[in-house]
Amino acid sequence: MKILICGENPLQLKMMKNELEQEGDEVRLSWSGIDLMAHVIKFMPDVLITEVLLPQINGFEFIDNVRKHFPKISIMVLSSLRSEHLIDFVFRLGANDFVFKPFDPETLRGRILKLQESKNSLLTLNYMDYVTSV
Amino acid sequence: MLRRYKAILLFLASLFLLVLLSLFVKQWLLQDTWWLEGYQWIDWMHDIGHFYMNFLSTETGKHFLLGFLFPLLYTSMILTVFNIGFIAFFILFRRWRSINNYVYFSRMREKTEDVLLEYLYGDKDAAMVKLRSLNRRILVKEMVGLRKQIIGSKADQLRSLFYELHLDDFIIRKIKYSRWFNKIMYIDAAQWMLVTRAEDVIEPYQYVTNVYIRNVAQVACISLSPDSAFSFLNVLEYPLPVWHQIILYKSMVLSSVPIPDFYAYLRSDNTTVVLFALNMIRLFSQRGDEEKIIALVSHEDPIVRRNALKVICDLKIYQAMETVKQYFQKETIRNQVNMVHVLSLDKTEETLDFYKTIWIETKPNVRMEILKHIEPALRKKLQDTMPSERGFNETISNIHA
Repeated sequence: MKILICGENPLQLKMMKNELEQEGDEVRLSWSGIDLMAHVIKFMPDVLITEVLLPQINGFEFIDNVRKHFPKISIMVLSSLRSEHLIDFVFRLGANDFVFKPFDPETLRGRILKLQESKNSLLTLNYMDYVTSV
Repeated sequence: MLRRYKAILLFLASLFLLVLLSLFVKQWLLQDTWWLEGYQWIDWMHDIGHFYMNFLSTETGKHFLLGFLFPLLYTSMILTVFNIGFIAFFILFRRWRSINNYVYFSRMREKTEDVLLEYLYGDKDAAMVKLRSLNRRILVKEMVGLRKQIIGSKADQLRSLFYELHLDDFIIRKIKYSRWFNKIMYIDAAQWMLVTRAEDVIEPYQYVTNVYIRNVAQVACISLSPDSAFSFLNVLEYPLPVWHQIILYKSMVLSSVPIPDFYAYLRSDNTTVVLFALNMIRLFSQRGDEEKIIALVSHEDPIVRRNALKVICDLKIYQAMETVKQYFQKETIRNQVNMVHVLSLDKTEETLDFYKTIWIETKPNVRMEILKHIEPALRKKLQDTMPSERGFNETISNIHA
């Protein structure tokens, strides 16, 4: 699985990378906000893990752009936001999952797998609809 | 007196020094040669001044005021040139130093990150050797930064590493002796790494005049000593800002601190402490000596009264009804609205009778609030019994609209 992690704290990102690479995923990191979209286009990840408060760019706008241009990418938002209104807003922008910080890095892989499973089942349903024209 | 005219005195003193210096410059300009004669890069300064001073000495160019002012102007120009040079050098030096520091700290931070990851995911023994030689300030900063983001076994490993490297001793020493902005960083580190030994050192900082240290210390003490977490409220002389009240509340929830008896702080002389206690009682629906809350309905501060009324309404304290009725007429409109909310708990004929007595003196917007909060049957009764004055009819039409 190809995973792109965007955030502000390099040590935290590196740690997540280590954690996910142990399971054989291909992981790339980005902690500079300016060229995030370029990273997404180049790498074309299956899963994008991002924070909302990103350096130099607006995280909400970034999530919105990714969802608009790459509908197949699963977006997992990692944030310390607690406001229900903002969390709801993040989901309305197109995020698939929301992980509260502080989080347990060892459970991250499980969350990603669950996310991909739900995405695959949705895709299968879509495919069946298309074939049977129901 | 001296303090008031300090600027003027300083200006006069500088002027006097300038005049004194200009006398030396005048003597220098009148001389044909000087010790740097012949060095073109500097000699031009003397040559120009010397030429003009000589001209002012001749019969045609003799002028008393110019003879005095020219050396003054020349001195100012020389001083300005030196001043600009010095400031430019100073700025460049500072910039060079800050870039160097930034590069050094970035390199060290990256190195620290790599070694920390090696410790968490690789060869622990080799990483320990490297960690002991790293800059401890950067190490603390990185470890605390990561600790704030994660929980679970990795967070526990990080904490045990912190103690293994004796960074707890390091931060205790730094809290004692470093400058105030560094103190904040190390107090925060003590809080996140649960260095309970630092509590005695941090405790006095809860009462210092510096608001930043004070607030960080108060939050740290909540995590480090849950049993006496809010003892600082008993002796706090400074105001407790709302944003800090929110931080204290969040720290309490995140650290799972046992909720203290906030009723104990309701008689504090510090109004902000009383407000904080009222908010906490409301948020945690804490039960206690309700008389203390009822007493606050007649507090001198209208914000305290308003918050007390909110608590009475949320906790449904029926004993407060009489007191609320007693102070209704003396209250501000905003608080009267809150009082109506409280009185709406008691849906009896007595309340209706009370409304009848105060109706005429009450403002239309409060009347509207009253009509919103009484039972439909009581509302009908009130409409039937009250005189059909203009404001009343308007109120009724607003309610129906």
